[in-house]
Amino acid sequence: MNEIKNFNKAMLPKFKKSLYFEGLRQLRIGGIALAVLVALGTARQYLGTISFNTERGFPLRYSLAQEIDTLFSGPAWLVFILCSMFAVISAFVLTTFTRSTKARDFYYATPHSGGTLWLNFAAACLTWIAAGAGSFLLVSCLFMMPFDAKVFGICLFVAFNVLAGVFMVFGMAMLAISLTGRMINALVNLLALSALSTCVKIAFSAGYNVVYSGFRLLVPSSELYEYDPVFHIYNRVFYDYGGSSLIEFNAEFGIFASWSTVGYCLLWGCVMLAAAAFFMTIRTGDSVGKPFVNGAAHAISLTVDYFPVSVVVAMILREVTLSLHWSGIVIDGQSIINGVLYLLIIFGCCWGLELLLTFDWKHSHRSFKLLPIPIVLALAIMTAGFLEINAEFNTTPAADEVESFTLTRNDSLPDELVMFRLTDTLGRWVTDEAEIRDSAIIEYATAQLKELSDEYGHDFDKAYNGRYSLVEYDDAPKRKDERLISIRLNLKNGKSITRLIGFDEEHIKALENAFLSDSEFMKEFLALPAADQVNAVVDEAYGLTGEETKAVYETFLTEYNALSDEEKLAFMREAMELSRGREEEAVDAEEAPAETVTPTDISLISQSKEVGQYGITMSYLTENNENYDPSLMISINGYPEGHLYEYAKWYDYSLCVSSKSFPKTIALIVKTCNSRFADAQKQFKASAESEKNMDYRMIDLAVTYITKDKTLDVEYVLLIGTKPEEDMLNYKGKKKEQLDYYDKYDSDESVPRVIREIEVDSDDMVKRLFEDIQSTETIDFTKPYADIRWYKKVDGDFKQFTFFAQTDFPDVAK
Amino acid sequence: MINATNVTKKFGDLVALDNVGLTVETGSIFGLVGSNGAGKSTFLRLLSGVYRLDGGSISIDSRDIAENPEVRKNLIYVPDELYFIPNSNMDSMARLCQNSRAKFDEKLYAELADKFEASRKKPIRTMSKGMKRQAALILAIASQPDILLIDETFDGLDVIKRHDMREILCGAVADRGLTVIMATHSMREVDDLCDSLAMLHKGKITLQSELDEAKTSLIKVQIAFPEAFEKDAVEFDGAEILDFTRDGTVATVIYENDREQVERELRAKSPLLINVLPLSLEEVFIYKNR
Repeated sequence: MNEIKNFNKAMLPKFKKSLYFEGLRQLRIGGIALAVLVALGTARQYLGTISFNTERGFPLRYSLAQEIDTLFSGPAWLVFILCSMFAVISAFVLTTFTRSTKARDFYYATPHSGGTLWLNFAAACLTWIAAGAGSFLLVSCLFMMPFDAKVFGICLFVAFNVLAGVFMVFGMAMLAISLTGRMINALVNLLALSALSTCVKIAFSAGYNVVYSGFRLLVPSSELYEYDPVFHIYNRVFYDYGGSSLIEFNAEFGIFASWSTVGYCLLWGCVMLAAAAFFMTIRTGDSVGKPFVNGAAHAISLTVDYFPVSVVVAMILREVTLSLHWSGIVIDGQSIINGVLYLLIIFGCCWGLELLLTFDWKHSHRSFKLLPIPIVLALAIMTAGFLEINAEFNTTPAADEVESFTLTRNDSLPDELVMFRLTDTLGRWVTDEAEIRDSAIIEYATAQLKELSDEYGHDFDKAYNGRYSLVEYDDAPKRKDERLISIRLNLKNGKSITRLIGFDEEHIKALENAFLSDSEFMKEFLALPAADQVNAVVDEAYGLTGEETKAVYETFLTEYNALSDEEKLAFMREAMELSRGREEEAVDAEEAPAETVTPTDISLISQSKEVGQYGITMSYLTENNENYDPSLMISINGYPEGHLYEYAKWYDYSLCVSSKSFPKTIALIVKTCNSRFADAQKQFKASAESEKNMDYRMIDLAVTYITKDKTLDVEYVLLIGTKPEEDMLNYKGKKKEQLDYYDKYDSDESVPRVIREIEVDSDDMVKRLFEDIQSTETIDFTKPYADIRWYKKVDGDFKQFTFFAQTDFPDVAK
Repeated sequence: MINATNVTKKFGDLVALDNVGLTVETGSIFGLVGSNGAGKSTFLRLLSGVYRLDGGSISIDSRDIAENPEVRKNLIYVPDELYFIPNSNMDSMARLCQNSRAKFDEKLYAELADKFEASRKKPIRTMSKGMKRQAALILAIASQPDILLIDETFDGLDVIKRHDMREILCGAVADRGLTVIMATHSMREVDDLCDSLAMLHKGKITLQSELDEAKTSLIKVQIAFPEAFEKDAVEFDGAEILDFTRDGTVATVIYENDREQVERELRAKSPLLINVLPLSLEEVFIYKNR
């Protein structure tokens, strides 16, 4: 390392304003283009959402609230991609002196050291990146702030997240460039650095047994990957840095923070930039055109480049050997074969990469001298992984070491496997803030932990599936009546461990009782959000306004708060059962043959959503009983004030409010809804005559029949018009997509529907239908009524109008 | 004063410069001539700090240049292959020079640009090779360095501009003691401009001297005898014959010896004719490096 021996303090990077501004100037076209593209792209996303929702009749505020909810998945990835591209390209543009002899002769002859050039140009580049993120922030604020000042915090957070990610990308690019004097090598380095995190994760996840388990673990364990191909790529690169993705998006839960990932990104970015600074400072013009600037860079390149390649190749070969094993060609001695195989692959990868990076066949054997470095690194990583997993699995505290416990969501496993409904009664209402001290459960949990550790602890391949689980979900639950529940044990030494443990029915009951008998928990559990926290936005096309919704909710709260704790709990239990019944029926209905008649509830009235505050969703529900007692389904969800990003603070209640327990609430909702219907009927009557004479009409008619022992939604599509053939073709062809879309978008999926297409002799039937609609003043939900979606062709496109009618047309008996 | 001692530079197995020693006086124009691949550009790059020395040392006014960007503050290197910032024009390059060269003279820059009718706003990438070279020289001279290193100095410039540029360089040397080191293949340029020179051949110095001394370092003699003769007829003790060409009874011989000694020894052989001819710098270079 002559460079270090000869090092002179004058070579240290220094900030020089003139050079910094020169860097800014050189990148100004790209930087301005970035800011403009980000601004336009961001605006386009918001405008697209607004336009999309305006078409459906949602008020603007709802659109923007929804956009905030998906802020991470919409503009954020766009900003990230654009800024990352800029970061990489500008890093290459500003460092031409590392690859081009002409630029080298120019820059190295200036009175600046390589480190000074690096520092000032990197600062210039980061400034433009920050300008890009700032542009995103500005446009987001322009769109959102007029509606809710709180969103500034969200936008700032997103911008900061993006900036952290891009900072790391920039660090990667600079390090990749600083190690070599050639473009191709720099690109290979960059690619390898990007993949390194994933490969390290694979090595860690699989412990010592990369070859055995790596391939399976290449498939990401998080379902988040499925949402968007860009996210998929994005998360593949960044997911593993903090154990969670930098920008996490969940369709149901919206935004939640990944500060640890931001921290990792910033830390990795700093580490890589510091390494780049080191190499930039000690390198001279001699290294231009060389594959590696010096021996250290050679070793790092080889290690970084080797690792992802060899891991992937090893896994592929492993799959081949497994296939041979399954086919009976290879029978045993797998571990030894794989050990040798893996070493050979490392050997081959080093050699192959050396060839690729130097194009020097003759001297490629030199790479073998550096072979110990990647081997030692690989062994170190695997050993660390082994130790970590070992420690993780073997942490089996005794019952007296546990202070308290709570239930928690396990993000590493798919939702349908349990984690949502922790127990029947508690649903997902339990937050990880609860501290329950039930000794019986603690004893059961610790005993289960010990048992699982004994059974699986020695077999990491089977036992490990994500940091918090102890068994693969494929293998669990072990017993038929067992439900896997994610439990967090808070130890007396201040630490905590989270594990997936099987609970049988008896212990689930005990678990519930432990929670329900905890006074502090119950106090929180039975408390519902105060009325003044509700600021619901209502689908005005259908039902209630925000004020009306709030009034209903206030009435409900008044009635609810008047109940005793026992009554409240009973109500909660009943509500949960009703709610669960709805979902289960919906699932049954999906699986049932089309003609099966399934009892269900009816009519979506309103929906609401508001970021930063509570929102409530209300469905008017007619329960399947002989009395057809109307009930109100109230869902409360949203982020409580001050906990915008806290996942654990998410509320999601589904309560069925029956007229027996909450007569005032139900009376109010019926009154309010009928008032809304009356308004709609008036509008219809005013326009009915002219509509009848239109050339082109199509009616999507949903009629709900309620008989003594069943409730049935029957949906008809009536094709009426002067050109029925054309209508039919349109309906079955291109326009069907639109109808399907409307249907999918508007329908409550939990309501099973029987869809029948009928062709009708138009005039008489339409006349009869219109008469029914016009004669309807209020809806009696205990009798057959129709939800009519009438599509009128306006300017070549369908517009939807919705009405209700008390009608038995067409007769279901037919 | 620039002092290079035992300068060695290697590229892998290739020794580009092998124990080269040079001294360049302040306020002089020094020519570095040599065949292709002799190491001229490498030497300039070492001097300008682009390359790192593998052996020896180079100092400017007794300050070692190794790993010392401060020394380069008053030094400008104009390489053979010029580089300009993408999409730049002369003014933007001037701004860059101004930012890194404290003595950059805007007035001088404007004067030179006018004198050479250079388009200051025109993108440099659209300029011809000669115009680019001219732009680089204008920027270098306007930066008022103490040391100017130029590789292939006037490459691409037309006759008039060569002449004007030469005058400006000589003026700068005379007026403010500029030291110029120019690496070139053109002996004419060296002959016209340089006070001293060094000849490089395959990484080694074959000659370093004042210009006039260089020309007299060899002696070219036309000699005739009554009958045809061979090379041994013009040899004597201590004779270093670099070239011998005979046409009938007349031969032309190049000696690397003292002129008086050569004349004395040859006259002693009673030739019919003995004529000492002048040597051009190009001939000196050829005979020294052949």
